[in-house]
Amino acid sequence: MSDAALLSVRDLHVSFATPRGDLPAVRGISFDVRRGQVFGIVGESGCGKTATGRALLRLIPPPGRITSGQILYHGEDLLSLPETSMRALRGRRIAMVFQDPAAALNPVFTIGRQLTGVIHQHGIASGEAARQRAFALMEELGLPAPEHMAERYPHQLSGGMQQRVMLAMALAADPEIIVADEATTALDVTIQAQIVELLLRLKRERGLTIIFITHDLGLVAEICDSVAVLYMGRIVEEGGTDSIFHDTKHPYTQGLLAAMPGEGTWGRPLSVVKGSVPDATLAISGCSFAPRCPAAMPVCRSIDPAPVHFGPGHTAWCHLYGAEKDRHG
Amino acid sequence: MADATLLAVRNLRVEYASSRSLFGKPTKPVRILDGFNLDLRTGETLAVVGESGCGKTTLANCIARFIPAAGGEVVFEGLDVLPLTGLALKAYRRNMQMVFQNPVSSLNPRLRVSAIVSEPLETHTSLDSSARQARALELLAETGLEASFIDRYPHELSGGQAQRVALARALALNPRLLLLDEPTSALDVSVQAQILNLLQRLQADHRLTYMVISHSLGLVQHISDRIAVLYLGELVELGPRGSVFATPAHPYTRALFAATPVPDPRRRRNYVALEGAVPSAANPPPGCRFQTRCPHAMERCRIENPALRRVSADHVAACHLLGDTHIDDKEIKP
Repeated sequence: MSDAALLSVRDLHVSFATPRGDLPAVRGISFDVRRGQVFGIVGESGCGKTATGRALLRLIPPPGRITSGQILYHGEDLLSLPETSMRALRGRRIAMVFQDPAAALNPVFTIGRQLTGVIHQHGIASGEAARQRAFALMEELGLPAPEHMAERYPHQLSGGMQQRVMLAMALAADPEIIVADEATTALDVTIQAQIVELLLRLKRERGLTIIFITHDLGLVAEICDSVAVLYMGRIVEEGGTDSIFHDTKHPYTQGLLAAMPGEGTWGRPLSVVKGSVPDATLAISGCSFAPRCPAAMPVCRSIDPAPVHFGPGHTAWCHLYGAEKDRHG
Repeated sequence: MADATLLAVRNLRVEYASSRSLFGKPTKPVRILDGFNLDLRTGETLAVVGESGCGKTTLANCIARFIPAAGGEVVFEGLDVLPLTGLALKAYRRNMQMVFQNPVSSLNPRLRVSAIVSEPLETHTSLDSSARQARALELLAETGLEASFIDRYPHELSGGQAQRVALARALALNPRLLLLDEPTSALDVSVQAQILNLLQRLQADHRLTYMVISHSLGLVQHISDRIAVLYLGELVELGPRGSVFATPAHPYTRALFAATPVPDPRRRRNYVALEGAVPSAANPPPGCRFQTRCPHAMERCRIENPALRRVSADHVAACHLLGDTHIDDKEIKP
């Protein structure tokens, strides 16, 4: 673990038991998250980004399970903690915000009751003190007229307001890390922009560390300091956001960026990543992207690519650069 | 691009009856669209953008005759289609097909691809079953699916493959107009690119007219000829793609563009987020509907709902900031 890392994931494996055999969702992922940064995990459906996020809190739903690896946080491996210690840590040190706030909130309790419940649960305050703490959090998260808002039920709030309530709950115990899994995906863009601003303000003002899981490369560019690009349960490229977008090394990352429609693509066909993601239950030999890669070489189909480092923190797992290993090292 | 009008929406009003109150007294219906006007030109791709509740899907559903209108006209090639019934309605539907957001759930899970694609042929043509099967194969080929897909069920298809089947089905009767409601928003980026390329090829091959509903500005910039921006049931801006993106005239359009993340960290926006959320359609604000969130709202905006004003030749917007150059609805053909 490097000195500055607040959280280090080492060789994480997550797998789901299916009738057709074990489906490996995460196949050996390692990364470091530094304190106070926004670390992005980006990829398409089934790449393992949600499983990775949930694994950090040991919240993989059965039939899934973490099969091996380490998650190092303050010198401890979260994967070897007893469940009681893990429960004390969840929400209090590391909290999670999910995609669909309407489904995550309890429909039969008021916002105020749910928020004070969380505050009480974490043993921070109770009674009137918990109420005051809830109002302060709501104020901080831009929920207007907290006393009035606290009396409302989730269905009486817009999606953006619901997500603010979820964030208030996540922040109730002043955690160090927030794992946001597609936290703005269900929202309209102008509301998404408000939540993004809010997250960036929390990072600035509270020194919050954010693990931001998304499929949206635009959001990554907007909010993340560094990013890991996932494909079929592996990181294929990782680095500072600027180098990932402007000095893209992996053919998959290049393909994703080129496939995005936008200002410059009018009137011509989009560049396409051919084929689709293969069946994850089948054994993979070599690079998992090789069957779709426009630059695939014979070696790609037999040997797993080793990491190649480009500049500070920028790494790609690709045979194209095999001969130039550690070009800056 | 021909300028002939294929479809004209005139003064369209769509209402949803809100549920009855506790003691059974009917409440005031919610007006989703009120006095809405929009033209679709033959061969163009018109993108309709706006956030949840702006009425974009209601507009498409009403054009498709899935939901009734409370007033106004939808004129397709000179004929108002809203009063049509029976055979005349069937004939209209042959010319106009809709493709939905979620490709897998928009296909009947109990039918094989062959039945899904040939169903419209059974309903609308006198082709026998072998001719229908042959046509289905032809349509699959056209949408980039191998013949082996003909015996599959929807759950055996990926999202991209299912959307190809939905397109094959929509094309079965050689329609002139496709209403595409968020056609790629359920798909991954790499699959979206394949479907967008397919849509553009099909449009060129069959001289199709598209109305694309999307919340993705990247998609809109890529595919559209003209853009219509809706806010809370009203058209706030309409114009050619290039002009609307280069010089957005309505504060809402500008906010929408500014709020959209661009996949380039060197162009991080320096943007003050719009405050609040879209008001409820059941209780829209007086005056301009955007006034509650508009950073430029003036006294006048709270009283008078702005009419469309000309920004440039083919570009209009509804905002008091654009001055008082009132224009006649008929003259500008919104």
